[in-house]
Amino acid sequence: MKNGIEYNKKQSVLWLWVLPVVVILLLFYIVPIVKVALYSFSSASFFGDKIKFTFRTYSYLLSSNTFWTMLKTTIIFVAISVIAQIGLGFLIAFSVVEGENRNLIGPVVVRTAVLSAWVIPGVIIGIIWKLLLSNASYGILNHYISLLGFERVNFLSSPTIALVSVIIANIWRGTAFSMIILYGGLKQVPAELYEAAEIDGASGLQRVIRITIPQLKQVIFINIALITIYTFNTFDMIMALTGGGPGRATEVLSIYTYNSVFNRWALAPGAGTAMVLLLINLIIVIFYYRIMKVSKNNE
Amino acid sequence: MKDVKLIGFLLIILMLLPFSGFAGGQKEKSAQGAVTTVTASDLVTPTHIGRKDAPISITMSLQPHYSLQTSNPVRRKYLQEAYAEWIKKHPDVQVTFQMEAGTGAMGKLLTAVRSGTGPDVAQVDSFVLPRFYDYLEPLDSYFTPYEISDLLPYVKKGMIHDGHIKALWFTTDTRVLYYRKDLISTPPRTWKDVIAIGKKLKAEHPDIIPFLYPAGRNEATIICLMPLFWAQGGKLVDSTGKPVFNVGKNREYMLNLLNFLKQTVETGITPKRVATITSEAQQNQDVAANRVAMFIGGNWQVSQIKSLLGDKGIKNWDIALLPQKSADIAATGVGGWTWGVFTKDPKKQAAIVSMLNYVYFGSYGMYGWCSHAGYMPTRENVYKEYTFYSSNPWMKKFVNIMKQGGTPRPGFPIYPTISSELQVAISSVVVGNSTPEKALDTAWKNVMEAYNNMKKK
Repeated sequence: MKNGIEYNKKQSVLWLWVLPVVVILLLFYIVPIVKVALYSFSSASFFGDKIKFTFRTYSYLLSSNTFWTMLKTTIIFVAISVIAQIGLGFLIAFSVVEGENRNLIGPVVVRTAVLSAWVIPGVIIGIIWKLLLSNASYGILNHYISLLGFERVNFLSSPTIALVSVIIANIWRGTAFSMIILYGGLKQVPAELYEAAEIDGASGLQRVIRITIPQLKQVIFINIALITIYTFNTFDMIMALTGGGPGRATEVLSIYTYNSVFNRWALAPGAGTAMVLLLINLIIVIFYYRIMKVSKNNE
Repeated sequence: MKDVKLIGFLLIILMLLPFSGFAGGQKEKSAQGAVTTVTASDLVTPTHIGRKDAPISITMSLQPHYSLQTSNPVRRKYLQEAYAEWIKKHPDVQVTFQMEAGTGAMGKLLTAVRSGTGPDVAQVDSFVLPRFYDYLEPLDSYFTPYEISDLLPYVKKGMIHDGHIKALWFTTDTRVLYYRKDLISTPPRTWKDVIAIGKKLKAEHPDIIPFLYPAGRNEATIICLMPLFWAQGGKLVDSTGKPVFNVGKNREYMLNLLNFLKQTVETGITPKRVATITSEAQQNQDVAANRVAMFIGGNWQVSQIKSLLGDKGIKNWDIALLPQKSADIAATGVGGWTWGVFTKDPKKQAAIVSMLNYVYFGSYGMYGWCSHAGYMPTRENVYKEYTFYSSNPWMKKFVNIMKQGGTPRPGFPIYPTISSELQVAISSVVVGNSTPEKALDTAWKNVMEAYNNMKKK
């Protein structure tokens, strides 16, 4: 009984400590999400007076060719970005770890250089890449291309190349995160496994395929989940770099949502698109938690 | 146990303190980061003017660079002096400023006004003014017909709704063709002239871009290029606000425009990268590098070009009417800002009108604000009466161009969607991703989907 009373007292104190966080989460996360969800199921606009409950927003979005084109662009952007970030992040992390193991000079410098791309704000990255890729007189890459005698490339004004440019900029920005996650994972791989494999005559590539990657499975899955969410939510860099153009070539879900609400003043459709983005992120988060659960069960 | 609960309670209070504004004294931070301690004797601060105990309390929502929080020292000095002079004559008034910041400011203002939580007076973009007509208070009783007789025609038309003065339009802007006098002796008047001059320039000066214009995903594209559609007689919407830009003759006019833009790129006089130009000022980079012969830009760029090239360099430049399909038609895109009054309180209204006249809208106030801020006045008499304008050759040309078909954008609810879709269409045509017909039909389809969806609600 005494222990029961002590336990109840502890519970009530714990709630007191958690209460401020709960209030902040409610006010700044849950309430806005619920509000946006309500807008998406309504006829809310900046112009009309009466707001009615309706599914029309979703039927309008799902029947719109523009919406599906934009979704396709988003999926291409995310898929290529994620695969490249994981691949490059792994290569760099592996190189850094191997360099440290061999006491080579430079791993810290490489790690810092790669991380520096990650700490730069997205808007600045967009501006940097715009200066790099522009076809104007100040375009740095085109300047060197023309010095070499080649024709200037429309990196940002050709629809296909613009999407590739945006993907490359995003890979440049996001590889650091994958690198640091995988670096941490690689450091946890027991050295004895490699020693045993070496004794058994396994080549370098075999050790990577048979030991490194299986050992990193959980870390890789978690990494995929996180960077997929981040990439789906990318807005600042693309806005600064292309604004979604030329045409609709680089208009991804986040840019489309922004344009719907603030440029087209279409509140309900914008809210609907935001809910689609939220749904995608929720699915990925559920996937992430399942991986974490499996990982915890395996420990 | 009690101590732990008390500590927890105190922690919660401590965490909520920043939201209460209690900080041991009323401090305010200007946009420049300067912190000033406001006392009763400070009548003009970046966020407030007048005595805190003044009985008439007004809330005013405005753009930061039109306010005392502007980072421009010339504007700030003018506003500080003007507001200080006015508030001294009106000790019974205090005004609190709220900043309209970021994209979507007009949307947020409309939402606030509709819900009854809007400010007493606000700065309203001229092209969305019609959306606010139902909420704006009439100001007829504060002006004689003479006092508004010198306003530019399109300004007066926009300010007056159903016979009532609904807003005070105090700055305007216009789009023109800038051209290099040293490269082009006579500016092109028609599209054919543009192509011919462009081709000649391309042959004689391969390192110079003959013709630039904004064609990216931004409103600048529409306000710079739609005059080439409007001049032909084209209409984006009918009188009820229904889209008509792809109907009848309007379709022909729009295709004429899109084909002209396509031709500028195909002949090589305009680079495809105009699809990345999202503001008039972005073209200044090519001006500074002496790499462009003609471009479509805004009146405010004169001072920007002058600061880039100096007094000697600006002499190579001149302005002309926007080139049109034929020489006998003219139009230009005009914009600007207005003040709208939402409060029904007559005392507040009288104070607001008096203040706005003194600082921004009256003849002297408009001259003061526009000459310090670099904007164009909306009163013709200001151009005549003040030598700052009457002796400025640029101003005379701008006014002349504005008078020849100055056309504001339609303020109907579907306009933002039309603008957005036409930006995509123009951008797609310019980069060669779509034919003019396909681009226009796609834009039309998307606009009509949105329009029908809007109508069903």
